[in-house]
Parts: sequence; structure tokens; C-alpha cells
Amino acid sequence: MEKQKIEERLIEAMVRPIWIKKEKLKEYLEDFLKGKRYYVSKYLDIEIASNEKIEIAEYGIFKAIALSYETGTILAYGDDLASLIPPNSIGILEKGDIKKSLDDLIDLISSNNEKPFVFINGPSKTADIEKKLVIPAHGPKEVILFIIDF
Amino acid sequence: MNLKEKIVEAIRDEKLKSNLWRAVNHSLESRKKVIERNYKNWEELRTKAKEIRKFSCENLEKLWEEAREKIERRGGKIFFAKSKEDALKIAEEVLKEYRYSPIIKSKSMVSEEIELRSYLEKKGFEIYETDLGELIVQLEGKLPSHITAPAIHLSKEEISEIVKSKLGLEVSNKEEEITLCIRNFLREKFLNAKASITGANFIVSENGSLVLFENEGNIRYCLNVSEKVLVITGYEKIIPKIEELKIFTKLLPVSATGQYQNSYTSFYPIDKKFNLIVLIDFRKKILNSNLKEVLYCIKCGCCLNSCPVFSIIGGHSYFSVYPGPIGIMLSIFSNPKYSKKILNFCSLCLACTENCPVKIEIHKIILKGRSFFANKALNFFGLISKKSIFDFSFNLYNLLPFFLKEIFMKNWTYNREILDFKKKDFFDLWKSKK
Repeated sequence: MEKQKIEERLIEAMVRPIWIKKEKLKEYLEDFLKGKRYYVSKYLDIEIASNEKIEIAEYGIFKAIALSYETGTILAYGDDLASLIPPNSIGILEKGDIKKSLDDLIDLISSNNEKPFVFINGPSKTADIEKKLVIPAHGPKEVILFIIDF
Repeated sequence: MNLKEKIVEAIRDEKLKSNLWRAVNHSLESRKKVIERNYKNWEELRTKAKEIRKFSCENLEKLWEEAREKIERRGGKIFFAKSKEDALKIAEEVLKEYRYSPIIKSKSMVSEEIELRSYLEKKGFEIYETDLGELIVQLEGKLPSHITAPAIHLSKEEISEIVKSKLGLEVSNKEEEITLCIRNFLREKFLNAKASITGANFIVSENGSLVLFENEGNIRYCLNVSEKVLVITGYEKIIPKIEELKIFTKLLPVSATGQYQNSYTSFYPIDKKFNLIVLIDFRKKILNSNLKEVLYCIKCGCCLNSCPVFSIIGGHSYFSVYPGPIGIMLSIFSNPKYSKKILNFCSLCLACTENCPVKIEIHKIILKGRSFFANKALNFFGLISKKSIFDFSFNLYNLLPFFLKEIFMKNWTYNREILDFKKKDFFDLWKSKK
């Protein structure tokens, strides 16, 4: 599970990885979001509060429960709309939640099978018009993944 | 326009041909690359998938009973509709309080099978398809021409015209701008919708949950923003365990769109927000027939892309909600009045069977269908089954004057040379070499 391989697969899935030390997270995030309208998911506790309603936020910050690094797929709560409504999304992931494959994510779903979940693999896209890939369709055009390194 | 006229029109439509060809080739090439790179065990996955689907279809009653218990415990409602008419009435009842507010809808093959949207629209409901391709064909007023690429028969110029004339919105004919225009149009519907309609890729019996695959994000909206969600799916769409999704989350995106992974896969325990209609219709009837493998289908559309006939004539030539190889028998089952001529839309090349992620022997299903519907009355005294009769007819044809040959074989000779039948056919040569 080397860092470089994880990054490669994430970039292929069109997710931008940013590695950050836990103690620097709040500061970095506040700096990143300066001057922007953002909404923070109720599933996160990162000491940053939304400064805007979800419908008009530019950035949605959501909880990345786990990552399957083989496919670059992020596991999130299905009703965590911070990962859907704002046109840019930022997932917050703990490094220890990096798993190998989709199978591992499905095991996680199995063990908590009363909650809604979603696999997120990159930005929203469509190829319905003459098979030309267009990003985004109805969801976010950018997915950034903050990976909290200890 | 009848079947034949439609096919001739499709074959002569250069733009359709090039669009379709590009689309199916792109899907097949990507699929091949993803399998080569990531799935050395692809055949094993297919075998497991078929086992799961076979087991599921052999235990549907028990699986649905288990699912029902879990769903009802959470306050969700489930209805088993024996017929299309039942399903339509239940849907209207479920959505009745939303008759005058906009309803958002995501893709569902079964909803198209029963013509749900047009039924509800006639009753005064306002329904918006939210899958980009489905919205475009809704505005166009036609059937989707492909399971996963519904608007593939349209050029971007035609799509732009449709958006301009039906939505009254100014838009160029660039793909990104058309998509942005529709994104903005639907966003307003998404943020204000009170009710949605969705389909289901799978229902998981173990915990009574719904699984849906997409790229656009419209399905996530449909699942989350409304106070009431109507899910409509077929009786065969259930699998026993969450664990088994390990197989399908790998097979489905690769087979459907040639992607390693699709953008969003939602896993939703069906609770009090949901009303699930399960359509039985013809499905129970074929469970014990030799055509039951048709029910294993996961509606990926891979057989469509693999089929040389489909990739020339396009989905509209089938005049059905279910086009392509698997669609041949599905169409006939779901609508018994359907023309049996579509059984001829197949050259038995077996490409569909080779590529089907669930290892359905689609060519065998078509052959069995042909055998079942063959006009047995024509075969008086078993004459047509005799090779000697064919040989005799071919030799007779060879003796005809040129102008009569041209008339007999006019569908062949429209763009090909007239040929005579050889004295010895393949079977004769094979026999003589032995």
C-alpha cells in the first residue's frame, strides 16, 4: 500500500489526493476554504462549521468512511449530500481507513447493514451525448480527498 | 412504419451507423482493456455470477419473503403486481398526493415495460426523467434506443434542437454546454422535488436493501431529496446476500459502459420512505421453462454492444423497450402480440453469449424461441426439414434466367452480385473429406 500507488489509482479515478498531518488539518482546510462558500457534513467532526446552505455552497465537505485503493473508490454515507449537491467536494479520510479492494468496502457495508451507503468513484460524469465524456453531469465536478496522515 | 421498413431506413442512415458504431466500439474496447488490466479472474467472476442468479431465480419466493420482512419492519411498503395494469394502479395510488408537484424519475426498464410515465402523465402527473439520455428521449417523444446509452441515435445537433424547442432554452450544440444547460434545468427540480421514482439494479434479500449504479448523480438525488420514493422493479431482480455484490460491483460497470468503476453505487436499506412495486407478469411463467435463463439478465447492455446486427440497425429497429439479443425473447415475453420476426435479428455469431457477464446462453434462447414459434404448418410431411428439398430448390434456382434470379433475390442483389448456389455445400464437402 505505498503512497505513490494509492495516489496513482486515485488520480486515475479523477480524485485529487492531499496528504495532511492531523494537527495541521483544521488550519489547512480553513486556509483552503478562505473566501469560499462551503457546507460541512453532519457526519464530520472537524471543528469547522458550514458558512453556507448546502444548495448554494461551492464546496461540500463529507466524511470518507474508507477508501478502496485498488479502484480509487471512496465509501461514504448515502445520505451525506455534501458529496453530491455542491459542485466541488472534499472527502476527509483517516489513513487507517485505506483498504485494498471493493470487497473490503462491501464487508464494511455488511457489518452495518441498516445504514445507507454510497461508493464514490471520482466526479459525476455522463457520455450520453454521442459518447463524449462530459464532467460533471448532476453531481460535483471535482473530488478532493484529504488523507489524514499521522 | 413496419419492422422491415425501419431496418432499411436504419441501414441507409449513415449518421446513425457511424454514431452507433463509434459508441459500441468504444464500450467494447474499454471493456477489453479493463478486463485485461484488472481481472485475470474474469471467467471465474462470470461463473459465480451465473450461479448466484440461478440460485436466486430458483428461490424467488423465499428470497422475497425474507426481503419483505426486513422492509416492512422498517416501515417500508412492498407490493407484488401480477400484471402491468396492477402495477400502474398501485403506482398511481402510491403517488396520488403528489399529482400536482414535479416528480423526479431515474432509469427503470420495468417502468418503460409497463409505460408508467405516459400512464401517469395522462392522469395529470408531472414527471421528469433525470438521466440525461432518458430526459432527451422523453423530450424527443421516442423510446430509448439503447439500455445504457438511450440517446445514442441522436447527434449533438439534434439533441441541441430538442432542448431548444422542448425546453425553450438557448443552447449551442457543444456537448458540455448542453449538459450544463440540462444540469441547471434539473437542479431546480431536484432541490424542490417531494417524490421520486427509481428502478433497481438489485434488491438484496438479506437486509431488504436496494442497490443502484450510475455515473451522473441523478439517482442519488432521487433517493435522497424526496419524502417518498417509488421503486419499481422486476420479480427476478433479487439476490440473496450483500456479500454477492462483490461479484456484481465488478462485472456490471465493466460490462455496461467499459468502466472499471462507475461514479456512484448506492446501497439503501428500504425503509418507511420507500414503496416498492415488484412486477411479476410473465416472469413466473417462464421460471420453469427452458428459457428461464432470460431472467438471470442484469440489464447491462453488453450483448447489445457485442451484436453485429444491433450495431447496424440500432435499438429503434426492435420497436421495443428491450432491444438487442436478450431483448428478442424479453420483448416477446413481455408483449405476446409482438412480432416474432425479431427472432430473425440474429446471425448466431455467439458474440453476445461470449460477453454476457452472467453467462446466459443468449444464442440458445433465440434458437429455442425460433423453434417454439416456427410456423410448423409450413412443414407439411416434414418436407422443409429435409436437406434434399433444399438442394433441389437451389439447383432449380441456378437454372433460372438472370432476370428471374434478380427478382427472387432482390434483397440480396440491391448491393451485391448475383451468385449461383454451389453444387456442393459445406455439409457435402465435410462429408466427402471424411
